[in-house]
Amino acid sequence: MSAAFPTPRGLLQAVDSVSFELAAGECIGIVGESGSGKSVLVRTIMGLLPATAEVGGRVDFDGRDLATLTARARRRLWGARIAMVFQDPMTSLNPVRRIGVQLTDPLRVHADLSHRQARQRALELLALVGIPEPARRIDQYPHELSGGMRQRVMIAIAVSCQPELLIADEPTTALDVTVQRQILDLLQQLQQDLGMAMILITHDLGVVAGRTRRVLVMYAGRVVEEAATPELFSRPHHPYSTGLLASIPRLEAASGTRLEPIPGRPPDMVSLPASCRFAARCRYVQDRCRAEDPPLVEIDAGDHRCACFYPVGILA
Amino acid sequence: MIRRTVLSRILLVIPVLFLVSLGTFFLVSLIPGSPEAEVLGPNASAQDYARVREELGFNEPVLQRYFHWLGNTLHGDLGNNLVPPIQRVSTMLLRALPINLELAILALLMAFLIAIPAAMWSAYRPGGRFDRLVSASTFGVISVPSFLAGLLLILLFAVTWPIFPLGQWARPTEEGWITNLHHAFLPALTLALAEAAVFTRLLRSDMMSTLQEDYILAARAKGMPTRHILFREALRPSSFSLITLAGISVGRLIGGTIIVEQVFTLPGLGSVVVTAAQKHDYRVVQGAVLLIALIYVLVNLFVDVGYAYLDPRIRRGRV
Repeated sequence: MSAAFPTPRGLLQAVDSVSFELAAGECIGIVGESGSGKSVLVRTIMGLLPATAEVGGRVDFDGRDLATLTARARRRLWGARIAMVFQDPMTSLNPVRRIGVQLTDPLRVHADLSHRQARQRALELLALVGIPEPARRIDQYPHELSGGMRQRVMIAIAVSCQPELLIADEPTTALDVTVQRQILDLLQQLQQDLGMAMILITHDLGVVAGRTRRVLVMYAGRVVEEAATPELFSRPHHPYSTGLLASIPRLEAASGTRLEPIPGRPPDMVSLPASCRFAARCRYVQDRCRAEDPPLVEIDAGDHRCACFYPVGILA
Repeated sequence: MIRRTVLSRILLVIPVLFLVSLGTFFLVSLIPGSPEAEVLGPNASAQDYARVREELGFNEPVLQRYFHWLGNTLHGDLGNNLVPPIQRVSTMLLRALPINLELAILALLMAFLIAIPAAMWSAYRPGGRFDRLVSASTFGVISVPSFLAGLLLILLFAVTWPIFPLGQWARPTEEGWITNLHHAFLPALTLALAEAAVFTRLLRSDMMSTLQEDYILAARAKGMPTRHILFREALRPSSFSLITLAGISVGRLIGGTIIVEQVFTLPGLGSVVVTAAQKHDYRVVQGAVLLIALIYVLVNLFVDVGYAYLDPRIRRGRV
């Protein structure tokens, strides 16, 4: 799929021919720095982009192409079969509505529960996501809850109708470090208990480690590497992935070890080079990289794909 | 705390009303001309003028007159008017006030009924056909003075198609509510149009920024229907400036409707004040201004309480 936005300077190609598959109950991670197109990608999947966006490609969900659905049909999927957890729980809950009504909304619309049933279910959901005293919390307003609590509420809303697919768009970025792990554990727990497929989006490779089966690394609107999570951590092939891994602090590293940042900045998304998009920042860059755009190809067995002419760790 | 807010606001009402009464009293006493000329006519003798001035208490110093009047007012007595036919000022005001109250409430309701859906739909699809239509019509309506709008409405709906009566007022106590509303419709609509146009523009822009909020996207991702998103999620957080403006409008709708009253020949407060001012009937002017100020302050007290209803975050702190 692709997604582009018209801007005064020209078309901004935020997502460029990204393709991946997700099996029922599977959990994948999408990793990339800010502006790499992760959030736009999942919004394309959801069909939540503003009307001005130019969207191309197909999103097959359970045999149906979501891109061709009517608004009404799409609404029936949203919240019911595909749900989303957003980045910032501070702004994703309506400040003037009680937690309870925001939680019962999807239940009443999709599950057609009565007011009383929905409230009962909301109490159960709040307990499920680990909110103490649900009976008191349910009548509170978002500003009366901490960030972590609000993200738990967002998660409760997302899983309320037992969706088949949960999209978590940087669910911990806005949270306190100590709360991040709790929220991630909760998401993982729910994903397994409820048998949901999950797309976990993050800029932090540490977040996907041990939580997702596969990882897609995005750079400048493209997938540059896709591999099973352990595989990516042990044998990353794309120079961008190795760069990302090198910038994670490691406990086993000797103290005083410097973290290695990736120099430079991502390319201008309005006027993209015809070359490899990472060429300008790549330490292994060759002449061919500056001339041609490498396709995403299978590197070695085990579904490891990489978009690089000179993959790291592979003798050309 | 709401209670503390309300209490402090009520306490604030007292100095406001005091200043308004003081200001009115001295402004009115600066108007050239005097009531005795109205009472006696131009051909009376100097002795007669002096006698009437004495009777009306105009020979006392201004400050003394003011505190005399204030004392009576505090006891709920606005006194009699100065120029015959003599009657109690409170009677005159209470006879006119219900007309303005009813018109103001009706106009406000109509304005909301027009503005809220119009603003919502144009904010939902900014730049769309409906939005452009709304923008053009609000701009047009704002530019039309109310006497012209009133005359046009009379021409269209009372003369060309005689659906509504040609002006005049029908008191619900005398002619029943249906006749009353029938008479009130056109003047209320005249007042409502201008307000609705301003309300629409204001709410549209607030609504547009609210619709950009994350929680609106989150609500859409929950699969909520558009109606739900507009009315349940977006309207309340968007209506702060709207109710602020509506509070100010009520004051204008009650005290500033003289033109519409004239166009529709309604015996409202505006007409009472203007007639009294022309006759130098100061006590009526003072009483009316004080009454309008009181209503104005009370309405804005409601607005302040309304904020707390609209936004739970305000309930904790002080407004």
